[in-house]
Amino acid sequence: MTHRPDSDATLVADSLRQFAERHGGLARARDAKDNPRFHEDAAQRARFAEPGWFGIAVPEARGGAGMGWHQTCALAAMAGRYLLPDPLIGAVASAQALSACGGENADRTLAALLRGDRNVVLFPEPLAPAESSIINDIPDCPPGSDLMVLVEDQDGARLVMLCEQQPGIQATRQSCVDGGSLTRLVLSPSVWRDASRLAENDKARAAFADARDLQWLARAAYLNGLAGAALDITLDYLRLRNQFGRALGTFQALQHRMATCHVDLIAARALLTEACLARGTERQAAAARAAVARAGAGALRITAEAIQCHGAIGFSDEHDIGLFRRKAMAMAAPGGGETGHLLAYARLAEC
Amino acid sequence: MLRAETEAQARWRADIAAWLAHTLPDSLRHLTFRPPPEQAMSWYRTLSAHGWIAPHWPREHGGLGATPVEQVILMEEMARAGAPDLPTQGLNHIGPLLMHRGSEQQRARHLPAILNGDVIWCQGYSEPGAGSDLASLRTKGELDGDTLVINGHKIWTTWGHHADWMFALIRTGKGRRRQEGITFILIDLASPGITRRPITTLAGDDELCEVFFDDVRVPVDQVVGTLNQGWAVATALLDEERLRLGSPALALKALTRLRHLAASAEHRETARGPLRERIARAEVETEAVIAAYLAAAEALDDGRPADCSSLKVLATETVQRTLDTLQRLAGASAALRDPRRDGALTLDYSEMFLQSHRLSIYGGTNEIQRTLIAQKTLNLPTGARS
Repeated sequence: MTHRPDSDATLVADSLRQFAERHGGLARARDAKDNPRFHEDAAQRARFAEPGWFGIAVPEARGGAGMGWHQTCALAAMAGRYLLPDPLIGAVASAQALSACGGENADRTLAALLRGDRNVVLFPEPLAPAESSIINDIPDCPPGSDLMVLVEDQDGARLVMLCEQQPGIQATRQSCVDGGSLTRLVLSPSVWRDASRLAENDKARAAFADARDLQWLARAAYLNGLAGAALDITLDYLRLRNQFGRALGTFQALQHRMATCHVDLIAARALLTEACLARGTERQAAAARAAVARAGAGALRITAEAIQCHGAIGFSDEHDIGLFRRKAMAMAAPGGGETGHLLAYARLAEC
Repeated sequence: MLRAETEAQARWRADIAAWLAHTLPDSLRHLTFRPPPEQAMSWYRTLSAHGWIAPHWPREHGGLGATPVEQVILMEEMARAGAPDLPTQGLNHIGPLLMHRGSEQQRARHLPAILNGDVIWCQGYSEPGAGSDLASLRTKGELDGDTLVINGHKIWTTWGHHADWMFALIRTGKGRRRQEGITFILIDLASPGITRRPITTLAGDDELCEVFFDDVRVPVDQVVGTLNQGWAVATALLDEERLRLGSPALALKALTRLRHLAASAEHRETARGPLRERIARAEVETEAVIAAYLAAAEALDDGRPADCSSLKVLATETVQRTLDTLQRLAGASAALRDPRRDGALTLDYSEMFLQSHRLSIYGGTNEIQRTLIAQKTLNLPTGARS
């Protein structure tokens, strides 16, 4: 197996670029930051669903585009360049899980997800049904979302669907720096009785693991895309801004910092490419965690450098570069940030 | 390597591991420094006889023609087994240069000798007054009939005191630019007028030396390319050379050291406790070097541009960061000079750590690479020389 540049990946990324530019570019991210709301904009979701991106990793026979993880990551990376606020990453991963489950129930939910009618959130960790469960810090989970959960207990494993608004679930939300939110759910034991089953045992575990890993990889891609755009904006600034009678970009102190950011980015991108190629191997899960750990750490370093190289204007809310800093924080944190992902990697790789 | 292996690749890995298990002598395992020439070249010739000494060389020149993935698998297994470092100037520098720029006669004479391990090569670029600013070099060659008479002084020559031949840059003329008037030449170090003096490094070994030339006569047929046009020869394969400097071999070696320390009775608790995150980061960073190496090597194979300066920075600084973590893990033992043994584990606290300072200096310092990245890859303005 090898990896070469891929025309499908370029095409999907280009179509998302055109979409993002038609719909306001970074202005959407600014609006989301300035006007945080817990309820999502249904019309916006439908617009996003229309080109079929939510189904990019779903087989064509099941109504998707039938593309691989690499192409899915190309799409997510472009979403990162434009800081798209839509829950694309969760949607592509959940759609993949639903298509892997099959059956009437999963197919119906998948169709609604692909139309943009429903938001389906996949919990990245399995749950053991207990007297009551508290789950903290779930991203992209607006009111009315469906929750896909892998339940593991003495009866085996099953992938089940809950609805965030069903009886027995209490949700509270707090805003994040980018205008997104984190949701805290308290589940009473009764919710498991009524939960609809999508798949059981090995099929459930496989569908869950693939979707969870795709979710990490797409998040890594988003972070790499975001970091790449922040670096490009900063390089443009250093070429244009004059101080001491010369462009800032001529100063070696700044050139070297930019070079360091670039090296950081190529490492994160290459690691993501390799992690996508680990699909189907026993290292798949560890590889996905490696990719997202590296991408998040890199995006945080690069956006910090981007602010510093802009000077005072970078610290002002007026300049867009701050939006990248905020989004890097919000996107790198799920899963416990770099520390959480590295410790997960250590457990998975036994190092 | 994270990517899925084909069945053939998995067999290649198993073959290497099995072969190393019964061929690589214990006395050569997990050494920081190259073994003395006799032992190093004995292992070199063993690899050569098995066909594995030049995995990256094309088959038409006697190499293995291995794909980048196959090369990474070989590096991973060599690192795991603790195979020693070998002299690389022939395999990675002058060999490939002669393939592209050498005369038929030069290729026929030198390539087989490199492959067989009959000849050790060294590189004569740096001088006391010409380090990062290589084009300011002053070692002089004056034409006397069909002979160049060389006078001058080369320094920081890796394994120069053990080498049989040197490829060097010398000044043979003057031009408008300093890069003009430089000639690329092959020098038989057995020639009269050569004096060599080993240099002890920070790490305590003598892998470097300086070489003095006093009226050394070299036939002009040892010039590679054209007289006075040597700069173009030296820089013809810069990407390939930086690809070798950016190979994951040393990152894997450093990681193996860290793994040995982490597995030892003495340090296991710290490795599983407070340093677990840092050790996992070293594992992940090494995978990132492998990934970036594969991306660059596959690009070059396809004739696409490759970001080899970035790879050199990434690979060398990853080694240094991994060894920083190893020093952290070492705790109170960190300053021990000589490695300890713990069963099959080699606990090297300081040797490779100190040695790794060279990585961000040789092959164009990482500061030079960063300037190249900024100006050539990122298109930042050059402005005044700073």
